[in-house]
Order: sequence, then C-alpha cells, then structure tokens
Amino acid sequence: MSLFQAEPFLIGLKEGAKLSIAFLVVRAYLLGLKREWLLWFSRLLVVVLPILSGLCLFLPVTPKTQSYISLSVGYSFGLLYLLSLGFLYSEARGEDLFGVLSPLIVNRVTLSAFMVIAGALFVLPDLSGSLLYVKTQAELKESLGPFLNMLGAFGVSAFSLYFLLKNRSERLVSLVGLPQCLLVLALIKLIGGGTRGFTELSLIPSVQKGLMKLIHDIVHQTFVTLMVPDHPILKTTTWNFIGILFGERVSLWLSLFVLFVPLFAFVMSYLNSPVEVPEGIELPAQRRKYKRQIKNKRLLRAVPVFLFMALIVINWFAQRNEEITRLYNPEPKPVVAEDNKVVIPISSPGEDLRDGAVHKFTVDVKGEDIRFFIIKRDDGSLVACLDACEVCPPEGYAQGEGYLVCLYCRTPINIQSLGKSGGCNPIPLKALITDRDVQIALGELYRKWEFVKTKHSKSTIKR
Amino acid sequence: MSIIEVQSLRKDYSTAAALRGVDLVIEKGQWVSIIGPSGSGKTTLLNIIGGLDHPTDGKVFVKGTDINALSEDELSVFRRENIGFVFQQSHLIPYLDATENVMLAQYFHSLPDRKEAEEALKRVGLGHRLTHRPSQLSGGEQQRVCIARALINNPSILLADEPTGNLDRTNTRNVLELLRRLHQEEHFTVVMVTHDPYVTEWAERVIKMEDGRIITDESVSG
Ligand SMILES: Nc1ncnc2c1ncn2[C@@H]1O[C@H](COP(=O)(O)OP(=O)(O)O)[C@@H](O)[C@H]1O
Ligand SMILES: [Mg+2]
Repeated sequence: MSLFQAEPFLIGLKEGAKLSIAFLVVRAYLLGLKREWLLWFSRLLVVVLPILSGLCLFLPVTPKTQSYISLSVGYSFGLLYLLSLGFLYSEARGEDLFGVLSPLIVNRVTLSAFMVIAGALFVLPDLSGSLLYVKTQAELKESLGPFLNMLGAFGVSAFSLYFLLKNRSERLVSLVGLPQCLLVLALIKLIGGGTRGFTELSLIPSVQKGLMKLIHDIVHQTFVTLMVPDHPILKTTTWNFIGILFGERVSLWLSLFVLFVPLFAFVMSYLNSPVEVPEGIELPAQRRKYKRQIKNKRLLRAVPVFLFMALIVINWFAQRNEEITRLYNPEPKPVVAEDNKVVIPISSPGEDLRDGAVHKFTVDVKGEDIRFFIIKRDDGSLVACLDACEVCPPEGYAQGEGYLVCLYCRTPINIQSLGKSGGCNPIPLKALITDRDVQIALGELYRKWEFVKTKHSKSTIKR
Repeated sequence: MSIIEVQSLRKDYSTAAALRGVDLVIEKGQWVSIIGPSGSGKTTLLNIIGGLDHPTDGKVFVKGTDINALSEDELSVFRRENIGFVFQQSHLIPYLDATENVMLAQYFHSLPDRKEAEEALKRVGLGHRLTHRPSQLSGGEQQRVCIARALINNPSILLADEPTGNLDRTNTRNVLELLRRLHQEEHFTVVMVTHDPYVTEWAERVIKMEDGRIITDESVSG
C-alpha cells in the first residue's frame, strides 16, 4: 500500500487553502479597521477553530451525522450569505445595521463574539465534515494514512498560501468592508464546501438543488392556490406553462436569479445612494471632492461583490453537467401481472430491492406501459411509487445521492420523504409489502397512471 | 501671508532667455497685474507659477509647496485643486454648451454637478445663456464662461493671461468688473498678465517686466 493517498491529500489541500485564503481576507479587513486587538483575536481563532473541529472525530460516523454535517455546511453558507446581505444593506442605506443601539452593541465583547460566530460558521462545519469523511476512509483501510495525508496537505497548503499571498493581500484593504469579507467567506464555502471527498468537492450542487426546490415549491403552491380547480382553459395551458418554467434551463436561471437579485439590488443601491457630506465641509468643490472619494471607495468595494457573482455563475454552470451525468437512471424491468396484481420478490438472483438503489419496473395494463419504482427509504422500509408525479409530464425520476430527481423539472425529492403525495413527489402506490415480496394491485396502478396521463383533476388524488 | 513665492527664476530657450532671475512674493488675496511689452517673459512666468512649464533654474512655492518637486500626477492634482486658469483664447469645447463646459471642469476635479454649474454661470451674468454653445456666444460671454469654469472648483489662485486681449473696451470693462466682484466675494488671489495699461487699473499691485526681469513693482491704492 502506498503512503500517498490522493483523495485525503486533496481534501487537506482544499481545506488548507480555504482556511488561509479566508484568513487573509479577514486580515485585510481588520488591517483596514486598524484595531490591533481584533487582529490578534483573529490569529487566535484561526488556530483554535481547526483544533476544535477536530473534536468531531469523537462522533460516530453514521449516515446521519454525515447528513447533519452536510446540512450545517449548507446552512452556514446561507447564514454567512444572509449576514453579508444584511451588512451590505445597512451600508447601502448609509446607516448602521443596529441603528441607535450600535454604541451599546458594538463593543469588544460583542465584536469578539461576532468573530467567534462567523469564524465558527466558516470553519467548523466544513472542516469537521472533511475530517469525518477522512475518518471513514481511515476506518476502511484500518490505518492512519488518510489522516496523515490530509493533515500534511492541510499544513502545506495553509502555510504556503498564507506566506505566498500575505503581502499581496494587504493591497486588498480598500476592497473589503465587513459585507465583502462575509461574502468572500460564503463564496469560499460555496465553491469548496463539499464534505464527501471526490464525489462532492463543492457545495454548489446542493445549493442549486435546494434553491430549485424552493422556487419550484413556491411557484407550484401559488398555482395550486390561484387556480380555479378543473377550469377547462387553465387545465392544459397551465401545465404547459409550469412545464416551461421548470424546464432544465429556466429553473437553473431562476435559481441563480434568486441568489443574485438581492445581492445585485443592494450593490446598486449601495453605489447610488446619496453621500452625506459632513457639516464642516462648506465649499462646493470640497463637498464634491468628498463625495467623489466616498463613491470611489464604494466602487472599489463593489468589485469583490461582482467578482463573487461572476465566480458563482462560472462554477454554477461548470458543476451542472457534472451533476447530471452522476445521476443513476436504470431501464425499467418489464414485469407480468397475475391475478390482477404484480408481485415483485424482494430478493431475487441479481437483484435486491433493499440495496438502496432505485428499482424501476414497467407493466402492460390494457395496452399502457405503466412505469413504477420501488426503493428503500433511509429508515429501511420499502416504498412503491409511480415513476411520475402530479405536476410534470411523466418523464420519471433518476437517483442522486440521497435523493431522486424529477427528470422533467429537476426537482430533488428526498428519498426518506417518498410516500408523501402532491406536487412533484412521485405518486405513491398502495402496496402490500410482505417478507418476501411487494404486491401492487393493477387497478391501483391503472387508476393513478390514467390520472398522470390526463391530469383530469387538479385536486390531489386520494390514496 | 504669502501664497506664491518665486526665487531667482530662470528660463532659458536655445535662442534666448525668457526669464533672467525673477524674485517675487505675492500675498494671499492680492490682485496683481504683470504688465510689459510683448516678449518680456510674462506668459513664461505665469505658466511656471501655474505648473504648466518648468524653470531652467530657481524655485516656485505655491501655498508652501515646491511645485517643481512634485511628480506630473501630483502636479496635476495640485493644479486642479488650487489654481484656476483663464487665457486669451477661450479654449472652450465647441460641441458642449456653456453649462457642460463648466461641468467638465467639475468632472475632472471630482463629480459633475449641473445645478452648481448653472449657479456659477448665473453669477457671471450668463443665466440666459446656459445652453448656448461657444459659437453662439460673444467674445465677452465666452470669457465669462471661462471665468466661471476657472472658479468652479474654488481655487485659491486665479492665473489670467491676457484675459481681455480679444475684447473691446466695453467688454473688457464688464469682464474686469465681474472679476472684481467675484474677487471681493471669494477672496482668491489674482495674477493677471497684460500688455494693456487700462487693465492694470483694477489691480492692487502692478509689476512691470522687461526682457525677462522685473523692473518696477508698486502697490496702488484702489
Ligand atoms: N517655446 C519657446 N521656444 C523658444 N522661445 C520661446 C518659447 N516660448 C517663449 N519664447 C521666448 O521667450 C520670450 C518670452 O516669451 P513670453 O513669455 O511668451 O512673453 P510675453 O508673454 O511677455 O509676450 C520671448 O522672447 C519668446 O520668443
Ligand atoms: Mg504672452
């Protein structure tokens, strides 16, 4: 066995780079503030936080802890992003986020607390996620090799980047205010926040999925509530409309839009908001000069924000294709009905319904090819659903990691939530699940498939 | 308090010397006329004081700054923040109207501000000519636009080289009266070069030059 292991090594490089780049940006911001003690405090944090995240190694490695950590990476990205929007907003309005309370709130204690929180949000989820992932590898190989590889690479990239870029980063001082600083942290997380090694280096696919789902649900709910049920004109056109809305390309742009609109709006209002000239400056030319200086400063600070957007766009599209090819979409296996029901053995040679993969079947009923699938949920139970939902044309679902994706609208569906009906959830099938097989009545299959084909009622079908 | 200090200034050209040792101190807020025959070095002196030209020898201090020690960039910042120029030829941009010509100076200084530019034109009596192009203005009006433009960034020094050289008596008088009013209101320092003794009547101090040297320097009580 060789000493060098590429995956943990790369993970180490990635985490080291994230930490040192983040620290350099924070440092540039703090240098601009000219508060020595904050700088010292940040140095303390950059040492203490990684050590703290090492504590996660005492956690048991279960899919549950891993999915919690994945979630916390996503949420911490969201929080940093929202925080930066908040501060950008208050800067754009030319007022302090805390208004009159700011002298009470902004003191050493709260500033340090804020730094601890922002730092913890940035460092802990990602690093502990990566550490846990490497721990699973170490357990598999029963050696400390993966850890050593990761730690070595971490040290190398953290220190070399720090010393390489240290002097350059000092030129960033005029570019970063607090919102820019937080935004860069969020960006680093977004681009490099994956915690599953090679399979997920970046957070973008999951943020993409989350945003698409959010938009999809909002739009879907709006339509469902706005629509007069069963109105003959609305019926076909509306579904077509929703179809266009959730075509692959549109949803991609829509979710980018959701991420960017607030950012863009804040930057524009930040750039355009009037400059308050202080009392003492009276000559018109002096006042103009003051305004000019402020505007220049704002323009400089808008640069990292636009850079942030550009980087997201680039990565967004770079990640997308990769994601689609990663999906698992097996050919449906033809089955034959007997006694007006289909019976599928749980375990047959070459196939086990409980292996976690999606198992697709097709059955001929009255000349219709009806597609359905059976899959094991996270809690171990089996569930059967049509390979179609109530909303989209029945293109079916493919499987990603821990979720199914509607091939038409790309909405991700959590596997554990299968069996719920409505919206873009696959339509659940009543099935008799015994120790040996899964039995589904043909009538059930036919009735629900007919609904999919005609969509003759917009109210959710009864189970 | 002196605002301009010139020490043993020389300017040599290959053919001849334009300035042969000039020493001069100008007080803040003074209105100084420099008069002399054509070729006596007036323009050369004014350009060196304004940082548009470099001396062969000697020093120029403007507001305490040795302007020849500044880099080109520093010098142009220094100029646009401290000095306004008016020349005999108006140097207005022909395809911009009066207001826009003034706004251009604001733009190079900091930010354009139309309202402020219009106010400035009203103060030089051109409220009715705001949107006229230079070609639609008389010589006197053009020179007023130039004055508004020169003063728009609140300079502490106004350098004027034959500003009335192209104007008839009436217009000369009007422009100088206007300048006197602004000078009294805003207290900037005026250094005005002329070959016309009539123009020196508005000055508090008259310096005569000949052949690159100062020959007389007298204060006049207005
Ligand atoms: N660029 C130049 N090259 C050569 N000689 C010049 C140049 N500029 C001015 N001179 C000469 O320097 C002298 C002073 O010129 P100037 O300062 O323009 O005089 P004034 O403004 O008093 O008429 C003149 O003899 C003129 O010919
Ligand atoms: Mg001349």
